[in-house]
Amino acid sequence: MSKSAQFFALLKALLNVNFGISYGRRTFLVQKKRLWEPIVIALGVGSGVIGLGAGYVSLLNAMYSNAQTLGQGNMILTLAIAAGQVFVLILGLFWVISVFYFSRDASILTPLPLPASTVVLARFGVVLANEYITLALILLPAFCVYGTRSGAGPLYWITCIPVFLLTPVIPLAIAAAAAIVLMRFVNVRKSRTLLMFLGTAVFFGIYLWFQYFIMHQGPQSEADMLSYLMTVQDSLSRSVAMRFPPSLWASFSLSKAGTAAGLGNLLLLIAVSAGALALAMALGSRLFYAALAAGSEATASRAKRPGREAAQAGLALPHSLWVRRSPESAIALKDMWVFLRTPTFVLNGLANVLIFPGLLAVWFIAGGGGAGAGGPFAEIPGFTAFMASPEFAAARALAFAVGILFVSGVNAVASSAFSRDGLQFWQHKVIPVPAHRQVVGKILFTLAFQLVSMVPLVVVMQLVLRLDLAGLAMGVLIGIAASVWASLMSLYVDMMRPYLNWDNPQRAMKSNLNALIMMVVVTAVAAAVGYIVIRALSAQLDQGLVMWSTLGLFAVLAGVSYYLLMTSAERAFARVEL
Amino acid sequence: MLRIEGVSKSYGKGSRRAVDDLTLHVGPGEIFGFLGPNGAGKTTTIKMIVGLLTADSGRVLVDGCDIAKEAVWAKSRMGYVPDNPDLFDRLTGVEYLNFMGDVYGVQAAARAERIDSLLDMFELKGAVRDLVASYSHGMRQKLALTGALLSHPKLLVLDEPMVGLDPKSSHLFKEMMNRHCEEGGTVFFSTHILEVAEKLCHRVGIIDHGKLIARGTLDDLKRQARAVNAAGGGSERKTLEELFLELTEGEN
Repeated sequence: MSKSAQFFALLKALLNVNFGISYGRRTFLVQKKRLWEPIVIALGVGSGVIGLGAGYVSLLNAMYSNAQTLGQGNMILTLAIAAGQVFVLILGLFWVISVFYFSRDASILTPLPLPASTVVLARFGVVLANEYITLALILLPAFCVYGTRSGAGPLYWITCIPVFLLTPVIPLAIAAAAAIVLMRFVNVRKSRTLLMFLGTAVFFGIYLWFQYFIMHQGPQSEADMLSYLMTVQDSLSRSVAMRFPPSLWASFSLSKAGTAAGLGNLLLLIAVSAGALALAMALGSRLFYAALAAGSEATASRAKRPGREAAQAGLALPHSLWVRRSPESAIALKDMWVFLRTPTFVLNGLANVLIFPGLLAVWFIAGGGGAGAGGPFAEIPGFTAFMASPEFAAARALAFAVGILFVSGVNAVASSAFSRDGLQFWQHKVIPVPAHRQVVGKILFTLAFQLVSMVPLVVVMQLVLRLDLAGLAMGVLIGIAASVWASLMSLYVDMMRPYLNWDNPQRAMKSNLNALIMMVVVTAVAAAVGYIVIRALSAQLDQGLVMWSTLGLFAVLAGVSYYLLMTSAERAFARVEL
Repeated sequence: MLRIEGVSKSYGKGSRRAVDDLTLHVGPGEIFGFLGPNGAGKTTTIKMIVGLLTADSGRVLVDGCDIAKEAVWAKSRMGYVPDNPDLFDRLTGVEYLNFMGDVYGVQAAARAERIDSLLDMFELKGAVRDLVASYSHGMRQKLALTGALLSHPKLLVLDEPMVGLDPKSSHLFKEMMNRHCEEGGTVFFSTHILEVAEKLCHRVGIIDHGKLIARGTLDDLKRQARAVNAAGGGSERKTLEELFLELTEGEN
């Protein structure tokens, strides 16, 4: 069998497992089990995506109109591509580490006569396929808005295909190269999770430093910025592309399609993508199997542990080891240890709660900082006025709360609380603890995580929004209530349809449809509450009353979610058959 | 102690009947061996006993309690070790045993004493502070059994407990089962190893294609085998293996 045939056979099998194609076909089409479920979910998520997409498209339209006054409508292409590439770079690192090194199929693939490059390339293909799904939501609306508003010709639309396919390649290749090097050096027996976390922190530290550095190369004062905008060609795109410079090549390939400059940028994009991929594959060929082998070695250090001989000689273990707790605390503690000691869970859980606030902070500081300045967000229509006006004080506090709600909603810790147990969930089924008490244990860990994880976001949001003390207290309070509601609702969704049959811990969190459902629900609720609040404030209602009402609303929603959890627990547990 | 009454279970919307109208009683102080070829319905039956699967019809009573109606009470009466003990492998042995002690409500002092003697017996003391992920299959089996025995359950349910165990561990398991019975407990276990069943069990049951085709002591089974294979007559000194083959082939 040729290498390419091996590669395609492997890629096909891995994609099949990753997307659950055979499993889905058998469950839904052959056995016709719970056929309503994917239909309802597809309709729900589809309508959510269309609703949010409509908002995104109108934002892009507004930004295009603003930018086009300077003759720079192509800025929206650069913005979407840069956002997509930063997204791939950040989350790609976690995907790559998980798919390359923590897939359960590693023990099946390693003994097969496949070169490391084939395995690495096939796994890269799996991650890439997942990234295309997310990128489609970010890029396609921007491609369509620019294409229709600028009246682009057929060459533009044809060029959209290679640009879309190439957009994630460079950031993902960088993430893959970083992951391969990182895993080769952190795969020591002790403290692997900690080292891996520190390694990823260093990677993002370097990226954030690069961001800070490159953004400081641009104009610093408002006068400089104005002169820059007026004199430099495609200045808006160049400014936006500082988030991820290769995004400029992709953007120019499209906006200058049909010209020599467009072709040149496309060729540059293709060449650099191929080079980055080749580098990642070369590193993979050399380092992949060594890191995999080191990682699969037992993590125990029994031979070296002092007291082992004494223990084996029959001496009693210290009584202090045996501590009695309530079943709820025992389950919360178990969930905590399983979460903290599974590198994929830690990396995924912390990615959203640390990296996004980190990026927000760097972009804000590098963009000028301070309330009223608007920083890099000044590109959003109306943002500067929102930041400056006292009449928006309550709205700023509520925006603060929405930020907390959003991070709670997207971090997938609550929406994978049951799924993370995977096939080990059988232990929850056989223990003599009522299901609703077990759920309380899961709630305890989830809420503790959400509370701790909102600290960095609160600090950064305060840096951006500069609320007064009362506003900050109210923003945090409403944010906590909203976060509790989002967490309880996420737990409910995951309890009712846990995803237990996964082959890779990454899939418990990232491929878990429950996380996507909750992202849509949380965003929709945040948008609905935001709309009501804006209407209430426009109608000159008292700002304090609006804030207290919002707090009350989320408290009631949290109460209802808790009631749902408690009353459905027994039925949900009984439905799970393992 | 364990009563299974007319229990049935199907998979694939009823297209494949894994257990078919199974009725079985196991008394206190008894070791009951549950035998059958691959795919006969042994694990499905065990999973219904411990509450992992819900029976389509019939009921399972543990110490008089219906597992479907009084699940928590019934579960508090039994300990379970699956064929492949996929335990929470990101916990250490100590954390796992504390978890089991907490959910079964075992006092700290009682747990210290009980765990100490069980770990001694299973030679796990040196490893108990390591992550379960680093344990071999046999060590996980022994840890799972330690956890299952922690609360002094009346009924011990073991699915293929001898698979993957070295001779010494296997011997320890058998010894543990005998000791549990001597203390008044009941053991219900499935096995492929007929020799173990022959030496250890007070009674055995043979399941094939979901149906219980024979049950009783070894002598009872010999009589049933003669009835199934009436023309053959056969020797009085048959092993359980020969009986097993005769009964399962006779049924087929």
